[in-house]
Amino acid sequence: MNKVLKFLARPDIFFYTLIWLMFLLVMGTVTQKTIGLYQAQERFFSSNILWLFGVLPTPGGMPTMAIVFIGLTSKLLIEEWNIRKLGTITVHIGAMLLLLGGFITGIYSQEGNMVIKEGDSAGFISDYYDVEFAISNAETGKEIFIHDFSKDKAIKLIKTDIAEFKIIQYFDNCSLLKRTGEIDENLRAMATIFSFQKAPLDKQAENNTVCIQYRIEGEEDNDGIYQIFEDMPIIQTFTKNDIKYHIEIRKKRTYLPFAIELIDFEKQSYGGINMAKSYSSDVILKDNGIEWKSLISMNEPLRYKGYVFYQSSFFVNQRGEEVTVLAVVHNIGRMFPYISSIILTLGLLIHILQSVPAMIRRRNAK
Amino acid sequence: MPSKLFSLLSFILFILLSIPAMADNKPFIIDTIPIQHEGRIKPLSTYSEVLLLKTYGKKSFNEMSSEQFLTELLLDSKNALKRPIFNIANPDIVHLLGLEYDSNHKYNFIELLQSMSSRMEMINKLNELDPAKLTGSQSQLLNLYINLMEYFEIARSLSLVKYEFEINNIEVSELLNVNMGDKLNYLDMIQRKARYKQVFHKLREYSKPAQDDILKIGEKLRVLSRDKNAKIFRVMPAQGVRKDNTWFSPWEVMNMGEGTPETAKLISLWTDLAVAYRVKDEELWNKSYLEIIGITSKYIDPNKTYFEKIYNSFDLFKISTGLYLIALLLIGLYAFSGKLVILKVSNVIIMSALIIHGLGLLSRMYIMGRPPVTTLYESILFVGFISVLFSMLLEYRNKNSIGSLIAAFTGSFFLFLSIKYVGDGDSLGVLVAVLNTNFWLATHVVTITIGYGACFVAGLLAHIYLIQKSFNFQDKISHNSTFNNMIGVSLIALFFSILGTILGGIWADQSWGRFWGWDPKENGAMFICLWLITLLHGKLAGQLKPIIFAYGMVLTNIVVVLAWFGVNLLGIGLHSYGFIDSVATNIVLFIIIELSFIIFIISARQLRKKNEV
Repeated sequence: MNKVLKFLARPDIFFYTLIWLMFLLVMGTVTQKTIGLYQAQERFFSSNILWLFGVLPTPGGMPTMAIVFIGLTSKLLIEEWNIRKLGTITVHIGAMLLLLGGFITGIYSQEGNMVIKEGDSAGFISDYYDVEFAISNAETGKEIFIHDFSKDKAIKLIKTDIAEFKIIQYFDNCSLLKRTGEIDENLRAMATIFSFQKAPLDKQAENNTVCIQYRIEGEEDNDGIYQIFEDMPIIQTFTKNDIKYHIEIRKKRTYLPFAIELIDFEKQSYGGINMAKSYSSDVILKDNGIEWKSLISMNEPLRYKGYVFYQSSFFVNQRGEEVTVLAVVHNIGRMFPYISSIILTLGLLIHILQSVPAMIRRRNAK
Repeated sequence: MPSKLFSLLSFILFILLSIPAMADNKPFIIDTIPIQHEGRIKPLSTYSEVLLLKTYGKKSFNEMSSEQFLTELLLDSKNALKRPIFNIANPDIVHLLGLEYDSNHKYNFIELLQSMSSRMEMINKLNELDPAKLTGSQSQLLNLYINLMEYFEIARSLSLVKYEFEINNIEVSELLNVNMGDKLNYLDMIQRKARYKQVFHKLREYSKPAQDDILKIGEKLRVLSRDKNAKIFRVMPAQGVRKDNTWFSPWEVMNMGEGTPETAKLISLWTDLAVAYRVKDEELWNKSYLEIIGITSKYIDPNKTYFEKIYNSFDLFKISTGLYLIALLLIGLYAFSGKLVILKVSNVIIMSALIIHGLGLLSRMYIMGRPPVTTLYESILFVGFISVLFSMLLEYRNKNSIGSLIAAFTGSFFLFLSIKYVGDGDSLGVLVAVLNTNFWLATHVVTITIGYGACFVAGLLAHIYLIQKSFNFQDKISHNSTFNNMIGVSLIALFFSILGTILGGIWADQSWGRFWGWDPKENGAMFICLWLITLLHGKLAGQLKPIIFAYGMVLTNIVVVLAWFGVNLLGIGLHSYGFIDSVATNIVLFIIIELSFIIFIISARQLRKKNEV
């Protein structure tokens, strides 16, 4: 066991892993210019394998950081702990915790945004990237069926209680083309007006529009080929047994055990110019009949039951109403960076106090 | 030591004592009256410098200070508009405007306006285009037009309070119910508007000279009313008119028709100021001036505007640059002569420069009420300060002139560099909403820039070590001392870089909800940390020989420059507010210089080895 640990703690492995990590960091930063943050992150930092030049498999960000973590842990286990090494040991513990926190955050954290119009309430967060196929009762809004595309994009058949949906095409991003000439008689609804064309992924992930084409069979009047895409201005409907359903592609939703109502959004500008000084949302948190008034502003988030709401953005909708955009995060590893940074800083400080005065010594003393 | 301390204190005292002398209010110069400009309330002294820098490219015009220049533009605009204030260095623009290019290439407002007015179609088209798609000359032409318009707007800002009407016709004076020979301004005439309309409708009933005078008055009123859009000169705190903190120009207050007794009083005081300037009545000038300051003191501390005016007049960073350069020359002289007294004098000069440099930073902090680093320009000033401070601490410990050399070099280098990034406008700008938090600016930004400064000192120690080692300068003990210093400073640099990066993460967690988002600026900071960790671990574990470690530390300078300036070139991410167009060339130049240094050292060492063989 000791031999294994000694091998894992070898300084040369650590040294070359750090060089590889720096390479990933540079590539992942520079390529953001062309492929955008989200794709760069997926390719270089969150990946297990990085295909160099498209053919050569090399360690991605995850295994690289795992090697650093294992190296640090092994080093701590085999190292002889003494006061002389107090600084470096503390630093290594801090770095380990930082990496561990990053791993836990990567696995368990939930992120998204909550868009609320003045006077309205919202009780769910929408994911930034992942999309879902949702069927809901048009009248009550009750969800009947959800398929999470982030878990299975290649699905060919979606079986639900109301009908079966055969997925003909799925695009991560598409553009709409107006149909000309004779229209296929199987096409229904919006599909009769527009056709989809696969579009290259935009470097800003939020600019991509997921589109699907599906076929319904054996449902009499509803039979045919349909097309829907994210945030369609007119929601696709499906009627069965006199009940009307909404069929949507939308950002994946996570429902919260409480709701937030936006009372007022306020943008403060510097005098005489149209430059924002601060943004804030006056909200009421509603949970089991209890109403809690709160103000969310820049650098002053609202924390409640493990969720944190940050003032992220705002816009004015077509009806001239102010709409706030809150970034919402639920992260059980949130405290790791705080704890690890204290330990890391403390360790570095001890190390510096132990070694630097000797290094910057007066020549005559030497 | 006490004598050194005494010299230093005397120097500071000299500076402090000079302040009141330089700050005396001179009559007929507007400087400390506040104006709201670019979102901030500042003294007109600052605004006058901004305006002059934009048009003339300097902070003074011939013998006139910027404040004198602005006062004339406001209160004697006819004269000011004839002054050749527009500096057009690009001959293409001058030829395009049909003007003659000479070595002076300064032009006055009137000739430029005549030239521009026949080219308005082209200017309008340029204005509609995406600024990023304009060529250098097109962009300069558009800027020139914008500056020309701003200049004219300022010249017309007080036209409503200046006496533009003189009634010399007895018939007209009776008709308008004013005294013969009375001088009236636009406001006086507007009060008589109804009466004037009545007179105008019966124009044919009056004598010919009276008709001419009445028509002239009408024409003048029409011309003056064009100035109602003059909005830049926001010197009227208009609480009561609006709920927010917006100030207004005199014309705006008049247009809104919702003035308060306070705004009415201010307009009356500006009228008195205009009269005092015209008739050179010093007593009236001082009285009106102080009353304006008194009213505006409710909205901004007059000591602060007064202090800012002093800060503007000193140019502390220029003084520091000069002193650092003198010290650098003296250290060169010491290297040749070996006379210790020269080194001591240079150290005193560096310390004086450092104190003045620090005073400059403190002044900016006092004026803005925020920590010292908020813009790229301020980060350069601060990194320079930190580099000098660390270097002088090294010098205090070692007393071998290396610390002094690095201090004088970094001090002059960074302050020279800062001139390029100060920009044309006010360097004390307001902050974007997300940066508007003093706590995080004071912790994360300051810490990370201290890290940058320490990295540069370590990098320069590496340069010196490589030169010592390759050319056998000094003895082995000296080489080891430099090497140990380099490791010591790089550990300090690592400490501040890691602390700064983590604090940045915590700020991001507080503001955006995530500790780490792989944003280019975050990655840049992490890259510095990883680079230093790799070098230090490589050295400790034996992967890197001392000489390779030193090469690595030279490259640290490149790493820091890329993290500091380079990531902004990507123009993406949440931190891209620091973007500056011209930075790419300078980064490439810097990288070439550093790489050339390494190649030079490697070649020199190879040559020496061959010779030894």
